[in-house]
Amino acid sequence: MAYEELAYIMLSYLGQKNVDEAVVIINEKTTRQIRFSNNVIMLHAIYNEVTVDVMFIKDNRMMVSSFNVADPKIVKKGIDNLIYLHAKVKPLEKYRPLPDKIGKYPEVSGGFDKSIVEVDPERLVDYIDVCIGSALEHGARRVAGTLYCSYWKKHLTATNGVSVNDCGTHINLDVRAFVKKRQTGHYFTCARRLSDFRPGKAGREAGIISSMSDEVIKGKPGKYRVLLGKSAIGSLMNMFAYAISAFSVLSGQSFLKEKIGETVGPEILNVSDKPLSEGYLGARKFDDDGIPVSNHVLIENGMLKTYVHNRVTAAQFDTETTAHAGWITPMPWHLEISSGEHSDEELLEEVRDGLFVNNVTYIRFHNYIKGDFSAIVRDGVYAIEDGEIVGRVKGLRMDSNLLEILKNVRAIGKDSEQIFHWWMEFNVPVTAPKIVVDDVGFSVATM
Amino acid sequence: MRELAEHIEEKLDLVEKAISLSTDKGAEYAEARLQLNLSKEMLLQNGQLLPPNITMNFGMGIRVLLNGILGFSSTTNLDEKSISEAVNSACKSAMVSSALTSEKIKFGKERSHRDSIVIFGSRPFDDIDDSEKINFMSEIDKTILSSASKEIKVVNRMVEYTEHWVFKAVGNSDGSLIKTYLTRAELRSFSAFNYNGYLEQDLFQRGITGGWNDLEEINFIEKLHDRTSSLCKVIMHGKSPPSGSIDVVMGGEVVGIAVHESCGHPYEADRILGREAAQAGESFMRREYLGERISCEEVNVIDDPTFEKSFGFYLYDDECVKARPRYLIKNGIVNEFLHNRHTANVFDTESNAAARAALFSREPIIRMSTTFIAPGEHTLDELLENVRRGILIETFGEWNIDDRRFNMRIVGREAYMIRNGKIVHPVKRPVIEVTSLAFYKSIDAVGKNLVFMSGHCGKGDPAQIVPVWFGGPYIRLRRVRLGGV
Repeated sequence: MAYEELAYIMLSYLGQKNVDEAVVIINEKTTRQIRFSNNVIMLHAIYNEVTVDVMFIKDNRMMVSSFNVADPKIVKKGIDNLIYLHAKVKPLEKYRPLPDKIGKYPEVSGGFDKSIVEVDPERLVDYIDVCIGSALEHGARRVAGTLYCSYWKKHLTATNGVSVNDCGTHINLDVRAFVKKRQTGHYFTCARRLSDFRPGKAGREAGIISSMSDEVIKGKPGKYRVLLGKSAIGSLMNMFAYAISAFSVLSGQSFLKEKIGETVGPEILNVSDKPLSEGYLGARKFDDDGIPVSNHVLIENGMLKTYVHNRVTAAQFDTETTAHAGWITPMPWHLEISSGEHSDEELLEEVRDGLFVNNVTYIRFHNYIKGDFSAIVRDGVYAIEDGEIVGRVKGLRMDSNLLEILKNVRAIGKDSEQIFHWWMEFNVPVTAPKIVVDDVGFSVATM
Repeated sequence: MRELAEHIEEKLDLVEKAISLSTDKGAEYAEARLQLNLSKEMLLQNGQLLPPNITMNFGMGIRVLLNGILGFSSTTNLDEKSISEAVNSACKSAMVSSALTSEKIKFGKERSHRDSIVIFGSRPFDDIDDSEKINFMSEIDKTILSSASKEIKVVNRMVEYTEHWVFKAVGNSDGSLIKTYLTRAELRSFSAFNYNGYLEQDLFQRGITGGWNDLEEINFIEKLHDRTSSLCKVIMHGKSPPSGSIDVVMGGEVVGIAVHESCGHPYEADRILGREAAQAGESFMRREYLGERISCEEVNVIDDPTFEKSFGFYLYDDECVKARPRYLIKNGIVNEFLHNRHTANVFDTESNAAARAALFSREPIIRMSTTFIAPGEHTLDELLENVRRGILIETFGEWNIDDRRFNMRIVGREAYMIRNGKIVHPVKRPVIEVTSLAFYKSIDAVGKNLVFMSGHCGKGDPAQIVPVWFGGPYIRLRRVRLGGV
């Protein structure tokens, strides 16, 4: 069955149930994954998935559901269950109805590459060979990672007459280089077009980062000036992505609550959401309500400008949707930190005495409202003295506050790159350079 | 909902078909898993029911071992043609990758089994009207408010009820076929408190495999009342934690997270072999540790999938190997690791049935189930009485651990100062940052009463979240240095 037809059947079925409005999204995705460790491939997998996502509002009550199922009979059964449940849900106090008129959908270039759809699996295996070879050549002894290559089609149909399609391709490689058990480096390459994919560079960077110094320095607790690598920024900015969601603010789980219009960073800090940028991983035409997306400035010269909204959160904040549905949780599509002017050497000089932290993982908040968290630092943690890497630091754990990290941004690099890896916990792609931050707290194991 | 099992029964022949097609194409081992997962999530936010979410996944995952490489393919299209294409994809993927491997994967020989497991409890969830479930959630929500001290503002409340229906049939080329139809459910409450600007939060979660009757047996409301009242006293009267070297008595929840992170994960043999190196990480544990003493005689850490009613319960893993309790640490000695067929072969042993897949579209990987320290002989009073200066940590807030599972941090939430064997006052947020080896070396006594909490363990790429239990009795650690910045 064609997926447009499946969407139409579901929307008609919802119409029979007298819903006030409904949206059906059919996602068809084929993903090829190759995992490797200890320099050899361990698994080659193909995932073919069809997902039917359904949202409806009936008597001011919203219901949402996701079916990774191809059989319409089973989806209808799920919808029946939702219809039964809906009467028990408290009506939405307010929400913005689906718009009668939709503006023109943007044309986003560089999001689909036929050569990714048609890529020969053997070529993907060759990419891994190149990546592993490059990492080994630049200092690594063992290499592990994952390559994902996918293409997807999306069809959205809604009761306001919208019927729209989007499609895209992605190719991502996440690589970790090992010199010794605790001496590692990490890098990535991610693109929408095969021509932008750089497996050799990813391997080289991971290899270089893993082997910047053999000198081992025992970490001491305290506050440091830190050069954050791109992997680390990807992880930390995913926590920002969650906090900038109006849903998180309403749920009391955001350190950005009541900060609109306030200074949350220095003048040099500018953060935007950029779903319309060419070739960006998060680029798309429309949100889950079928509303055309647009770019948004989130932090301008250090000042917080807006949260990201869907129709429900927008109504609660008495504003307009920013076209970031997620029906329940609006999220940014692709965060971008504006580049600064510092080269890598200048950033090291800016730190002078402090740390280089390449990757941050396991970010856990002990206070969401304040932004207090601790996290594991890994894949390249080095001491910097007089602007130079002098040794590999072991035993440190980041013990800090995300709002303070934003406020204490000291210098921003000029070399930006798309970032996407396994530890970005909300899967929001980020484009950013390296960044220097003052007064980042670190603790150590005491025994 | 129980009738959804019919969809598995209807398509059962596709399992056999996928296996025979795979072996015809030269697979040394083939496995097909027809799986339907349905989850219903309901969330009360500050007393109001948010839109419930129903998620359903139904399809088949096919895994082959061919030319020493694992190939995997999944599809939602359950017809013969699509299954045949999926088999071709899995086999071709393995073949094209074999050029880049010098290390051939081999599976050990295991006994074959044919069995059916059905667990819906004496009151299945589809016999309980959703109104009753929502009313129960409202009672939990009210309990948060009624248990908090008047002086403390409850600034946020969330109550979540989740019901999981799992229907699956797994077969393999050894002739095994295991059908499992069961339900799991979990209750979670999250509350945030403000006391004169001091902010604190609490997360309480309990889950079971079984029916509504089993969920009721948890006594969630009574336990939530007690912990909220106690936490409020800590918020209002807690003092700063002491410094220096002190003794620590840990409650079952804290013990649970500690053993899950510092024993369960590092004893996963795929981590030890570096197979998870790119993402979740490797392990400090090594083959040479087997047989080495790392703790006192009284310490037994068990991972037991067969623990009745446990959230991660199963009787056969997704490679059709029969499950049994795994003694990771036995009488203080490193005893065994968690294995699937591949790692068992590498370690020259038998699989202990640790292979689990979260959904049809995911490969089975090594996972924990119910991980705990087995009960010892001491009462809490006995554990406290020999402590001259120490702290008791009943619950934890934040935790994390490095990717080799060696350096862990636990921040206490409900905690108390102990002097001369007596609890003297509450303590706010003591921080323990300790290596895994130091943790086990420090334990000198184990209590009697077991406590379990439910959790959702994440691992793998694509990430797979599986239900687990973890817990233990009170334990006592000697001479621990508290940490923090």
